[in-house]
Amino acid sequence: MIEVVGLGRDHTDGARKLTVLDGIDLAIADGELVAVTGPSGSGKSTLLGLIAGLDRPTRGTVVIDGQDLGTMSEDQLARFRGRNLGFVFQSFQLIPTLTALENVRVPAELLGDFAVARRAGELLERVGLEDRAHHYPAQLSGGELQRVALARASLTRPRILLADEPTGNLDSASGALVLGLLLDLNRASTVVLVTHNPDIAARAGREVRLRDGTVAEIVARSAA
Amino acid sequence: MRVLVRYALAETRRARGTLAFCVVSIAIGVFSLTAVRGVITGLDESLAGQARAIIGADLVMSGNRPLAGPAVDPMLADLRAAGAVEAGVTSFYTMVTRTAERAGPGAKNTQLVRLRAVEGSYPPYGAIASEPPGAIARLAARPSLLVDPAIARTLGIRAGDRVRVGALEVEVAGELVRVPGTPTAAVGLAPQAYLDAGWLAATALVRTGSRIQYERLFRVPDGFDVEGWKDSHWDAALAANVTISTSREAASGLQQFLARLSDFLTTVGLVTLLLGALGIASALSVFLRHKLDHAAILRCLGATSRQVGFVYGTLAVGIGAVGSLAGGVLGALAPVGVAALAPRIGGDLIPAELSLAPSWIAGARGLAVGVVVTAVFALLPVWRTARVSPLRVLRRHVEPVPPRRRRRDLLLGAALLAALFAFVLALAVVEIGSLEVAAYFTGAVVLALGVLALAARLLALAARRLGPRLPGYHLRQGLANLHRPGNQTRSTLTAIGVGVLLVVLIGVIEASLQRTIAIEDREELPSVFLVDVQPDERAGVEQTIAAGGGSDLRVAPMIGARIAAAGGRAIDRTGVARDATRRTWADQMRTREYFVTFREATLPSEEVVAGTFWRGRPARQEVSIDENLADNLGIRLGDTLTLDIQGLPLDAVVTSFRRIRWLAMVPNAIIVLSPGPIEEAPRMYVMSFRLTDEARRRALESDLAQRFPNVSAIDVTDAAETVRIILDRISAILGFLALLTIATGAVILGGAVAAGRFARIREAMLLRVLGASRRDLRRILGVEYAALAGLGGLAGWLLAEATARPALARFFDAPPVVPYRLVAAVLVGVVILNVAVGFALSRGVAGARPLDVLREE
Repeated sequence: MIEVVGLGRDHTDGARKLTVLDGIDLAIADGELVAVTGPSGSGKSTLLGLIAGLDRPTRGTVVIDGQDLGTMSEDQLARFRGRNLGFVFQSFQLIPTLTALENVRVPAELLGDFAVARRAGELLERVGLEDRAHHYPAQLSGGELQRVALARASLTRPRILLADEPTGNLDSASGALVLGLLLDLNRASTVVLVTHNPDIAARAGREVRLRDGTVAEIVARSAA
Repeated sequence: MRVLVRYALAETRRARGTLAFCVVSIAIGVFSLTAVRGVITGLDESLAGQARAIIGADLVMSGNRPLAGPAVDPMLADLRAAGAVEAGVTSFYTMVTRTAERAGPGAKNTQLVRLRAVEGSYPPYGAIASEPPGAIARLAARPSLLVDPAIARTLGIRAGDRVRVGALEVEVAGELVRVPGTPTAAVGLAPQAYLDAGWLAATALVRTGSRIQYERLFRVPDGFDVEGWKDSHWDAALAANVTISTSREAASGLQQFLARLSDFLTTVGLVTLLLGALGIASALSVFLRHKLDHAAILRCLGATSRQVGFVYGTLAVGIGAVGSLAGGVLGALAPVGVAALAPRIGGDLIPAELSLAPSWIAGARGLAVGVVVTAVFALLPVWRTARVSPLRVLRRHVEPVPPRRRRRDLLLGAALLAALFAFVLALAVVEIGSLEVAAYFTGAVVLALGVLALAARLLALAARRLGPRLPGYHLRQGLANLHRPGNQTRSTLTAIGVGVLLVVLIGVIEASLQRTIAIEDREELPSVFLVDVQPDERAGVEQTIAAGGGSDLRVAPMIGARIAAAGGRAIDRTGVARDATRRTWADQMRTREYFVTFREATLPSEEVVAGTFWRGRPARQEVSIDENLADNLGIRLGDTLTLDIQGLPLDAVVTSFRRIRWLAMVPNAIIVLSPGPIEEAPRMYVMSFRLTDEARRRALESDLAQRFPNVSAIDVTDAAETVRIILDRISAILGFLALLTIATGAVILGGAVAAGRFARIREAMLLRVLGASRRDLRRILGVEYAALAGLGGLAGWLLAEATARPALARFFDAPPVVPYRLVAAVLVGVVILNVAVGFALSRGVAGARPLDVLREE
């Protein structure tokens, strides 16, 4: 369960204060697929960063499974992310000096869970990349990179998966494949998905539309 | 932890070129430090291992008077009763004159020698090798002299020829091949000649006032406690002005010199190491800036800042370990290389067989120092990387750090920097062994780095302010590179600045010293010094000089004296270090014999720094002393100085302190008395005169030696040649170390350029897309690299002059001579080198296809 209450984030540029996000209230139940949409600059990625504990809110709280992220230190947050969250980014965010297999293993290795790390090969097989396991990111296509990122995000079976424009850099075929995998993962994890793509948003159970840093509208749909 | 180490290793995968620069820069630094320590330790051990052979005895008693009397006799008797084998040596400087008609081309008639008249079982240990062999044993049979090959060469004589020593004509018994404890190099001012002591009286050279050293050498039976015997007789011996030394202190002077040389070379080695460490810090800083995205991904996926710090800390320490291992191994092997090159780099000045082996202890120490230095210098960039915001995975440009955290970061950064300099100080103390020198060193490092950082800042500022106003697109773009984010201005400027600083510093010191000893060019300097001129010979010597064409004659009477008391306090000799290897300059000042002089006025080659020098003949007895003597013995103006002049006390009031320019080569003395009762004391004269025509000078020297056999003539040109040979060898060693520093500087330059290459490629490709040609890109880079090298070189030069001037005045008493041709060559060379290195390492920048790079993005 993700509970967002009165969440706001200001940025300062010298003496000027810029409110990026303000008064966000949101509750996301376990197993939900929520799409966050809105025009550029509406605060989608900021909201995602705050839910992930990558950033600190100026006001309001984010509570995940009863734990208030605001009370945790940076290192506690890092541990929390490692245990509970999975990430998929538009720009893939794979470490270029590690092979595909090594990249997938990272979250489990950081937790010291080597039994889970050994599942990395299996996950690559599941996303159809078993023959690319020992390739470096520079040797993979965009679609392949994102599938590696999905394998990495699912390795520790996180309770929540956060995806920032996961198909934004992909061609339509690769995008469809990645989306399919993401929806598969939704069977075991809550998914919060930031997207510009209305077709993808339409696959979500709820669509949170942001405008100028506030929730403009929440559209509930029947699950895809 | 293994996983984190694996991540660290993985980070080297696509950066081996950049990291190789880091490895090489620390390797050179560790090499120079290890090599200096290994070689000096090896030399020290060689000397210690051959101590008995060097001194030729277990125990030596020496003094300036014959070793006899109520204090000394019981000691001698004690040693004899213990069954010690004994030998005696009476040594002094004198002239040897050729009497044979035959002589090789260019041969001189006279030569200043250190005459050693030996008696008893000389030497108690070892043997003097000669050609023909065994000549030393035949010296007693008839008046004969065993000479150093340098004497034979200079005088054009060989075995069987006849020479004159004082009033005695002797036969040349042969040439010395190897004398224990004597360097093989024939560069001494006065090479040695051996005579049997039985013939000494016949030379008529031993007269009152002559400067003679008397020694008794003993080989003691096994089990005799030499150190204990020395300790129990030390005070009585010192009271009788006799020094006791043991084989352990055999080469104490040389060991002290080696210790000082070691300090100096270690300092240069430390500069190289710190330069390497700065190179690593700077290259790592740029390298880790490119790794911030990776660190942010790790943080996002659950890595704590400690884990991220461990990954990149391991990487830094790993680089340091690899570089230090390479430098340590090569440095440990350096003594072997030095042994092979020894004759050419000064090994023949060491009075011992060099047995230099690989110094693995120095290597291990170098490895440890290198790793620690790298770890400390990498702390700041690693700390910054460990603290990267995980939000970076979502947006590259994270909001600036809030003011409170920025202040905290600034404070932490300042604390880290202070800790870094404290570490440099601690390292210098450990390596140099003196807090004072280490503090000066650290201060100089901080100052030099501060000035270079300031120069870099000013350059960046000037580029920002003035650059946009300059005509020419390439000039504007090139200068803009100096202040853009991710610029290499500070690291490149520091590398160039420190490199140029060292090269120019060594150049200025060398040129100044060469100028100081360039006797022929300096009209104010004398050509010949005469010592031991007796009062009854003075008029005759002066006439001979005048008749032989000598000019600018200067005469100073010299009287042997010791300081008995100062300011009513007897000179405390109990604190004098008994161990010669630990004896200080101040110790020597308390115990040594001085040659004091008297005169009515100051000389142009000295300056009164405190008090007033008398004029004429004051009513009371006054004395003026050298400022260093006053410092070392705590003598104040107005104190009464009591001198022991050949057993008679003389009280004089200290009325002035002088700073003496010894390199002006004017006969002078540390202690100068006002004329008065001192004029009655037994004395000898020191004279100097000038005669530049070599043939006439040699003829005059020969004439003086014939007519006044006890007068020693020191040809300043010969002396300067000796100094020059030694100086050349020292400057060769310095030059080698400077080369290492330059090599480190070049590696750092390369590292800085390589580290900044990726950012340059991105910018360059955007420019290419917008229409810039390869030529345009090369011109922009050329402006940037030339500006960096030009200002870095300029700052280094100015720092070198600022350092050299006080150092020359303080340590060498020499006016500075700046070798402007060298400076110009260095500056031009540095600009060319930097542009060449820049082009070589950036060739991918100008040559890459925009599409490839942008696709890679």
